[in-house]
Amino acid sequence: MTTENLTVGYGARVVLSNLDLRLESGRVTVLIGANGSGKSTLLRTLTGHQPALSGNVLLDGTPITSLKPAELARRLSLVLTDRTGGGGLRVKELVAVGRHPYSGFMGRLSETDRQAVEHALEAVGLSHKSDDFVSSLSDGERQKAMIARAVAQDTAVMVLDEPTSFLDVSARFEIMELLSRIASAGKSVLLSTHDIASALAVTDTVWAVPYKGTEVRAVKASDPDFSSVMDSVYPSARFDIEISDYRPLKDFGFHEKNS
Amino acid sequence: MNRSRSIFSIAFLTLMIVFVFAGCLFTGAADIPADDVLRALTGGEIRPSWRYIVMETRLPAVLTALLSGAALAVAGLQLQTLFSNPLAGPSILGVSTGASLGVAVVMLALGGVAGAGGQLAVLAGALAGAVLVIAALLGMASTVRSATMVLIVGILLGYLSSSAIALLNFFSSREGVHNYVMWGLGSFSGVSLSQIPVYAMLTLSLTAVSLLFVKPMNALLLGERYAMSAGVNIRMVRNGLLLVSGALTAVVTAWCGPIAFIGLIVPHISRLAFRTSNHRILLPATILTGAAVGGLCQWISVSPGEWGILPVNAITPVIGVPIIIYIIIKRRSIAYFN
Repeated sequence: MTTENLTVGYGARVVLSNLDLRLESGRVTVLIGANGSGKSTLLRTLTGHQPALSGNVLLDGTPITSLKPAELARRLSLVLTDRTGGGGLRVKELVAVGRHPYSGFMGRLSETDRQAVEHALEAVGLSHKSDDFVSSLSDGERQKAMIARAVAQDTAVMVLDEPTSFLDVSARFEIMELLSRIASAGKSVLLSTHDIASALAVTDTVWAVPYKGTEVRAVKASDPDFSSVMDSVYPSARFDIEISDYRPLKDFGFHEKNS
Repeated sequence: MNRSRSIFSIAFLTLMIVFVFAGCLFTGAADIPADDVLRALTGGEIRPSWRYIVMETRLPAVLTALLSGAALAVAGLQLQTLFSNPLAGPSILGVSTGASLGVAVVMLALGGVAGAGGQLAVLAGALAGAVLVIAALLGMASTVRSATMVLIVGILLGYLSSSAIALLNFFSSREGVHNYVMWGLGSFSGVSLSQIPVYAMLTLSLTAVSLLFVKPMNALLLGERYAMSAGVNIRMVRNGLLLVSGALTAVVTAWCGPIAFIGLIVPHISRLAFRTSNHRILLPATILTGAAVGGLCQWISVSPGEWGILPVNAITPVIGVPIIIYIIIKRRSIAYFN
C-alpha cells in the first residue's frame, strides 16, 4: 500500500497533508500520535471508509477508490477498537464473515473457505472455542476472533485501529506477537496504538504524527533521528530508548533510580 | 447438538402452524360442525351460508394471519439488524404509524376507498408513509449514533404521525372516520378470498427478496465499518433493507391495519428458540415463527366464538409485552445481547 500526495481531513479542515507513505510487506508498521492527531482519520481514509481530500491511496498501484467493495475486501482487512455486536454468532461464524468477499451470494462456505476459517482460528489460538458463542469470549479472545476474521479474509494488507486499547497487558502482548507472526507470512500490517512498548517489542518501523503536526514521519528504530521523532509525538512525554517507551517529562520522584 | 435443536424447533413450529390453521377454520362466531367445515373445504354438500363463512371468512383470515405474521416478523428482523437495535420493530419505530398516516391521507383526505383503484391507492399511501419514516430514521441514525436515541426519535415520529392522523380525522366525514377507526384496530379479516392471491404474492415475493440479504445482514451484526470491510456495499444494502422492510410493513398495514408487536417479538422468539443470530438460520426461522404467531393471534381473536371477534391489536401486546420484559430482564445472560 502506498499513498500519493494524500491529504486527509473533513471538508475544509485538513488533518494530515501531502503524505507519501509506503507500507512495507512482511512487517508490522505502528502508527503513533496523540489523541486528535488524525490517526483514525488517516486509517479511515486508507481503508476507503472516508474520502481523501486530495491525492490517492494505492493498493498494488490501483487507487482504492476505483475498486469495488468486494475487490477492496479481498486486498484489505480491518480490525477496530470497539467491542462489536454479533454475540449470538458462534466464533467460527464470526470468522466466516472474513470469507464473505470470496463466498457465493448466500454466503455458503466452500471447502477452501472452511479451511481458511480453521487456519485463522488456529493462528490466533482459538480453535478450541470455534463452536462457542462470541458473547462467551473474554475481551482479549473477542479481539483475537476479530483478528482471525481478518486473517481468514486473506488480504495483502491488514489495518488495525487501536486493537489493544481495552485489553490487559498480557492480552496486548499476545496480540502484538500474533500480528508479528501474521506479518512474517508476507503481509503488510499497519496498526495504530498508544501502547508503544508492546508494539516496539515486535517491530522497528514507526509512522509518527508529530504533536500538532500535519505530516507523518516514517522512521526505523535504527535511524539516527528515531529518538527525536518519537519525542515530537506527545507534548508532555519523552521517549526513553532504553525501555522503548515513554516517560513523563517531569520526574515525580516516586522511584529510586537504580544506577 | 445445535442441529437437533433447530430440527426440533422447526418441527414444533410447523406443527403449531398446522394446529392454529385448523383452529382458525373450526372456530368462529357461527357454530359449524367439524365435518361440515371439512366438507366446505373439499367442496362437498353443505349449507351455502356455512360454505360462505368457511371459504370467504375463515380461510382468507387465517391465510392472511399466517402471511402477515411472517411478513411483519421479517420486517422486524431487518430493522433490528439494520439499526443494530434489538428493540427496533415496525410498530416501535413508527413505521406502522407512518404507513397508517399514508392510509389515513388516502382514506380521509382523498375520500374513501372504492374498488381496486382505491385499494391500490391505500397500498401506495402505506408504502410512502412507511418508507418516509424509515428514511427519516436512517438519516437521523447517521448523525445520532446512539441506538436508544434513534429508537426515541422513531417513537416521536410515530406520535407525529398519530397527531397528523387525528387532525385528518377531525376534518373528515363521520363515515370516513368510522372506516378508518375500524381499520386501525387491526384485523386479519380484511382480505377477501379473491384478494388472497395478490396479498400472498406481495408478501411472499418480498419475503423471498429478504432472503437475498442474509449474507450482508450477518456482516452488519459486526457494525457498519466491519460490514464494509467484508465487502458489503453498505449504501445498497441499507437502501435495500429499508425498502423491503418498509414495503412488507406497508402491505400488511394497508390491508390489516397497524399490527403492533409481532415485528418486534418474533425475531427474539426465533433467536431464543434457535439459539443463533446467524441469519442463514434466523431468517427462515423468523418466517416460520412469524406465521405461527400471526395464526395464533388470529385464533385467539376468534376464540370468543359467538361472542364476537377480538381486535388483533388487543391480543398482540398481551403476548408481546411479557416477552419483551423477559428479554430485557434476562439480557445479560442472552448471548445475542452481549
